[in-house]
Amino acid sequence: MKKENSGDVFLVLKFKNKNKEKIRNRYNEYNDEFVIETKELNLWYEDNHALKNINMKFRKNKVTAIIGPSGCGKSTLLRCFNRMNDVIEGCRIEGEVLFKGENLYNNNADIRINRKKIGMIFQKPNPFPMSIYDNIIYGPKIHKIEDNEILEEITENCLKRAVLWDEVKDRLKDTAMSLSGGQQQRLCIARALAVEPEILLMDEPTASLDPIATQKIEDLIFELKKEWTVIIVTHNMQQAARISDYTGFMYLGELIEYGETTQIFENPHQKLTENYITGRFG
Amino acid sequence: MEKKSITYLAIIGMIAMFFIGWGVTSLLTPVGGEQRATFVITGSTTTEPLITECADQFMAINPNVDISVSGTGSGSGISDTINGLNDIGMSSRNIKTTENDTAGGTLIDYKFAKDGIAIIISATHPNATWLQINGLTMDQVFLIYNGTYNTWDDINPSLVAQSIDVYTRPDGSGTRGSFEELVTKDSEELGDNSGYQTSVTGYIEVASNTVMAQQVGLNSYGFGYCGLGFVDANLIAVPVNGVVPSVATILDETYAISRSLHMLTNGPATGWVQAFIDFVYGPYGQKVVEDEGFIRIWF
Amino acid sequence: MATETVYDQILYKEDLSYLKKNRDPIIKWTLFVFASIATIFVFLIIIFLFINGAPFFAAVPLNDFLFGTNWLPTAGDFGALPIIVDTLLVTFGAIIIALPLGLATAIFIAEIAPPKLRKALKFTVEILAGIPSIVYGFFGLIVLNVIIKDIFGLHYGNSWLSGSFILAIMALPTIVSVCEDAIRAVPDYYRNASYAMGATKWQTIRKIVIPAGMSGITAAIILGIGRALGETMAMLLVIGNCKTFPEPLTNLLDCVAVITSTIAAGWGPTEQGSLEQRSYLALAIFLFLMTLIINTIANLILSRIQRKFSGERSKKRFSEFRESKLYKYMQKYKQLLLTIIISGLFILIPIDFVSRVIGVSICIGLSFLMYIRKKVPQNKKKWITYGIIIAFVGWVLSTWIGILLAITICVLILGTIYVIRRISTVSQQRLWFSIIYLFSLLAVIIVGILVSYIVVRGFPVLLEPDFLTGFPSDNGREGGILPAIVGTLELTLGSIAFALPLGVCAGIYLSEYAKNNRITKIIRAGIDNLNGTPSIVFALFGFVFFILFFGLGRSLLVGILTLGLMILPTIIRTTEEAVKAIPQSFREGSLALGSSKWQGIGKIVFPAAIPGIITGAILGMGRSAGETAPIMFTAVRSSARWITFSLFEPVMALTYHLYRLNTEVLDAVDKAAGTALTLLILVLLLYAFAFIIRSRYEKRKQW
Repeated sequence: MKKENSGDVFLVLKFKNKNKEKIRNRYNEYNDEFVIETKELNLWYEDNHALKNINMKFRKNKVTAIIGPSGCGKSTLLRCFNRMNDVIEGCRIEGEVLFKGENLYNNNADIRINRKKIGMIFQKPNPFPMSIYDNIIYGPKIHKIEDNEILEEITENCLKRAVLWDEVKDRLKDTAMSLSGGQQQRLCIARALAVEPEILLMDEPTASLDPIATQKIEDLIFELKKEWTVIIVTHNMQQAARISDYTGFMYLGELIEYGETTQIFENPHQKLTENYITGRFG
Repeated sequence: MEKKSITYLAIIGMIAMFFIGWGVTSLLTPVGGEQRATFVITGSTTTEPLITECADQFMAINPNVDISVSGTGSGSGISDTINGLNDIGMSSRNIKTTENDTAGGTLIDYKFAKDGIAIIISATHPNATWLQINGLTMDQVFLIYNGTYNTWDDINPSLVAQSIDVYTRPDGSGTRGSFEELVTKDSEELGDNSGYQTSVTGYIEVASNTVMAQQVGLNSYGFGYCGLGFVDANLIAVPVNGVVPSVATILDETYAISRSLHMLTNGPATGWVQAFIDFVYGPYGQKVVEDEGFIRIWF
Repeated sequence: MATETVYDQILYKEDLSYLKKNRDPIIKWTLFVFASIATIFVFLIIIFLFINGAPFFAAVPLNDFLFGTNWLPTAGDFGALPIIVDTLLVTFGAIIIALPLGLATAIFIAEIAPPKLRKALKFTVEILAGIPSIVYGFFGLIVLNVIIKDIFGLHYGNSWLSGSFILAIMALPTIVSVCEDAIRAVPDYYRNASYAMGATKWQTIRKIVIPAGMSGITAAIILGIGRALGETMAMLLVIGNCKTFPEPLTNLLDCVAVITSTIAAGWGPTEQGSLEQRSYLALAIFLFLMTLIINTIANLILSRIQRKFSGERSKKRFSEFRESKLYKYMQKYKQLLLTIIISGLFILIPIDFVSRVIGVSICIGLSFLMYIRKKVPQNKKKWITYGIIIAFVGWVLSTWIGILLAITICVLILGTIYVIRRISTVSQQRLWFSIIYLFSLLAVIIVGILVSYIVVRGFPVLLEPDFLTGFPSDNGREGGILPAIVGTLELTLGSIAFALPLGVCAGIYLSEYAKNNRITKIIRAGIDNLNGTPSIVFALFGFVFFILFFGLGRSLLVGILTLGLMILPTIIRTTEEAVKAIPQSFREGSLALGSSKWQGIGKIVFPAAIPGIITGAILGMGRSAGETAPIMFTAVRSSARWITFSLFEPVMALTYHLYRLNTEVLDAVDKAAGTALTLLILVLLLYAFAFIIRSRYEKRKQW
């Protein structure tokens, strides 16, 4: 890690500035406001109709929260955006999910390309059973980056962006399983960032964490939305209100209401939404 | 991770090298260095210890020959020879004509030793002396074996009123085959051949002559049969038809229950196989025959 | 900087053409090919056995085979009934001996022993499951038979009792381990609820823990039966192999024959391709079917336990049928229906009139008894069960010691039960705990005697200068066992080298790639069943397939293949289980980063599963090192003057050498003990190694 002390810092700084610039440029290339869009999305698990006619658009560089009681299909919806549902046997999908104008469910599209662009953070932290360093470089290695110097640079960079660097920089070779739950989740975020995604999907990322760790993750999401589009699923309404710009409310597989967070929480149009938000059920 | 993967690689590499090396050596030359001639002998368990010892001695003289001997039983020894699965088959019973026909008449039979099948009782039998003096007739042996005599006093009222524990060898064993062949042949004169096979299955079956000798020796009321060479101090070889089994009586064929030990080849033997057969027939081989308790065919 | 440009290119390249080269299909197909080979072998064993056995069933009526009472193949008598009955009796006896000891030991380990002792005991029990059967046979022949002969004043010691006793010791580790798992699987809140109501520890165990773990205990019994049924070498040496019914049927001291030993003793001397030889194949098929039924029942029960405590519901199959009226009627009258069906079977199958009448009347009698039991009020029900048991015990006792004594003993037993039920709960607990201590101690002592006998007898021989490094001479009476040690190692390493790649690939394919359809289920069922198939069946397959069909000679290669096939199902199963135990979140995490399916499996899942797979592999090695039957007809030789590594020559092996020293060379007991100890050390070290790896891995595992 510490090969050239002075040069190292310089390289990282230089990279960071350049990186931001690049990302800004890239977003300028796509002028439409919406990054992901679903059209008439329907999903079945065997006979269970889990998503019903979902039409939704997600704005870029914003945090969009999807809320709803458990079993309402919000995680299922999120998993549609990087075709994670493919893993589940007996799952059938109709309709379109457009990523930058292209249908993800188009059979010609190699999903791995899109999964690289659409990162995902899971409910339960799932670091791989290897060292912290190996966890981070797993993605870049899959995407054919083999130069050790670059890999080290990516590691440092991503861990810094996930606000984990200071805590783990002295024990990068330790197993990731030795970290605390909150640290593990931030490691997973850093791991997702290492392949430079454009969108981050977060599936209840704080559900299994204590309040302090949750706070840290939420702070991190604030930081992240400067550069990334974040779609977060949560059943914690306060969290959605705190961090998101837009909120969608789902109930029994249907999208009930979708709009700006302030509007949803202060002035919901639907009775169901109001009941949920005021805590009458859920 | 890298260190680990190197370790893994090294381990896998070593294992791979080991197996490749193994494969190559097995295909090229044995570890001894020189090219070794190898051949296989299978068959009778009676003959197996004797041939194993012969093979060990033969290999000591001829270090570049490797003979592997396995005791499988006479029947499979003969059919191994017919099917070309061994170089020499061993049998402790005569080759049936059907077997020779299957082979196309090409089986060559080497009778390299003789053996008497002794009718044995334990030395601790309460009437050991009586039995040793009076002996049994062939008919009595048959009637014991077919289950007509269940207790010793069935034979003679002066004997002990205890059950006769008959020991036998597994179905298909050469010794059992010879024994039944010889005993049945004589009993045909009785004109009572019907009940013979039916009750033979109830007896204790033992794996070899050695176990037969040991088990009958331990059982005061035991009755069995084994090669004469296996009769030790714990056993008494009962005279049959008044003839005590011994080398002399077997050679002059006054003792009725005797047989030859056979080696078989399919077609004429050549090379080391012939040399080994010659060795068994030669003075060293015949000495082993004698040492292992069988009867040499020449003196 | 050059490096930076590379980074740029890769990070921002919209053209991710390197991803186009997807190796997934290739790998999937490779794995599929390996899995198919493994599966084909697995099914080949079944098919080949049946094809080669078929001419026998064509020539000999099934009736003569199943109900004939005379087994003498060379004379054309193929009545296997005495052998089958003897097999069942010996197995039954073994379970009667092993169950109280095993259950008591399991309760002691799971509920009473302090944690440290518990760990040590469990470890010991698991290792002891690896003692090779030939070692038991050696012990039975040299020690047990002599003891039984002297105690009962018999003519000889080869008896049903000694067979059952040896089988009981062998099945003990299996029974203890599965019972203990079943008892530990009972959740703690069951116990807490019982204690909270003021129950004593014994009441909790007796009324809560054992009933809750009942299905696991049943599975343990069935697995124990499976183990006992498949045991060959020890039986061959111990029971005497006389193919008659014991006289009378309860005479524990009469000599008997079991299916496995009959095959092992009879197969060798028969002519190849003859009807006699096929008759042994027919016995093997019968044995295979018996173990198939037993394994299926055990698997069903074990999977039911898993569902019971995980709260998962059974599948909704036949749900419509379940709600139909017909089903309800069937439920109501199932007793009657079953009686009619079984009686019908007795009438249909071709047996003589008397057996038909006996079968049908037993059937009707039993169902009548069950009917009465149903009518009796709930709290009196168990008295009927006790009554039947006491009546049975009484009958058995009366055949041994006369009716009067038997009745006295039964009355005494009933009186004791009555008294026990009247004393205070604390005294009851004290009494039952002492019984448990006693039985566990007994189990430990029995196994301890066996191991220490071999150690004491064999250790001085190991110290002899030439024993471990010399070659045998004078038929093993002199010299050492080096070629046998090397041969065993060759067979073990070779079989694992053959089975591991096939098994691991098949396991990964089955758990990760195979669709969950009917074919996969059939494959899984085939593998599961071969997992518990007796080794003698593999021995016959190895002989018929490699030696007769392919014309390979008896050689190391055939031994390796036969042993490899024998451990293949175990390796497939352990791989599948190890891979399945890796959480799904790892696979998803990898996929979410844009990896292909294989990248995730190869880089994350497989490395994480390696300890589990290695454990399975080492256990497989231990098993193939300790087996005699599969190599007896296929790979071994009597003596060797050189160490050979040739795959095409027979080798010596420790197990067979020990067998030979027990059957051909009886005046070398010390050498036999030395060989037994060497074998024991080798196998137990492998087992210990496997379990140490497993426990370390369980400790380190953090997901």
